[in-house]
Amino acid sequence: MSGDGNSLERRFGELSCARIVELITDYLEGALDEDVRVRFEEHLCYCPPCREYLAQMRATVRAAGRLTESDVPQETMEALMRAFRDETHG
Amino acid sequence: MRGYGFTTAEGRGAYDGAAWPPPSPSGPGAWTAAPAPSPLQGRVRAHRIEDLPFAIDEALWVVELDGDVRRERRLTSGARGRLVARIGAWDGACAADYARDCEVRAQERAVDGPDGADGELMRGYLDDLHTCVTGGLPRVTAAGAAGYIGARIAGIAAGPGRYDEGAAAERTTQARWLAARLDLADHPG
Repeated sequence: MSGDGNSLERRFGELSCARIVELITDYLEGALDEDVRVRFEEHLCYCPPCREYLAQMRATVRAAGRLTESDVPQETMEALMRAFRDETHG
Repeated sequence: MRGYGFTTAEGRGAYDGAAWPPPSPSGPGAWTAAPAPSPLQGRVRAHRIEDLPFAIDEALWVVELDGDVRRERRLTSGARGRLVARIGAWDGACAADYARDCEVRAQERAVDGPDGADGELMRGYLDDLHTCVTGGLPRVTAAGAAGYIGARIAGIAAGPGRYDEGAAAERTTQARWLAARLDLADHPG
């Protein structure tokens, strides 16, 4: 689409793909106000990659919601904990 | 309450992921609601004719909503919904005609369009629109995008301070096109 994302949002209220990524969790939780929800959905109407991203996020949230701690293999759990410690301790 | 609703080719709502069972020869499909997480808290949506250009997708249906039906911006929502009948005339060929119609109106607006930066912006959108119509996109995807870009061009053509008015008028024209082509009624039976 012509124009850069920031200027299009200022002038036309158009959300860029980057803004869709930022807002997607709030969208899925029904936490966007109506004006932003409308603009979010208008973007989806012409942007197949963002539609696909939404479908993937929805599937991920559903799958994660069914997991319990005991479903995660010990090896994976230890790798995740190591990564978390490395991240939080620089 | 009855209205219209688009789904993907697989019968899912693109926004809320709701799975809509198809109608059978003996009657409407089973009632459905949107699975969590969902943008309308489990409610499903239908559309009035004027909302349809904002929701274009592969399959168009007459939809029945039930339970705390509410009018919201660009949609009507209900606690549950079901598919009543498919509007078979909405297909790839119809979507391609819709996109071409959007382009023709946009080209007409460009003839007396603005100069300067807005003129350049409009020409860029016209190129985008032409790419949509001719560029090998799936026809329904192209239709959704053509409607959006056509409204953008109409808004710019309306002149300074009149963007929203111009874009809304073009969206109204798109909705009327769909109603006429698909023989849609304000209150589908």
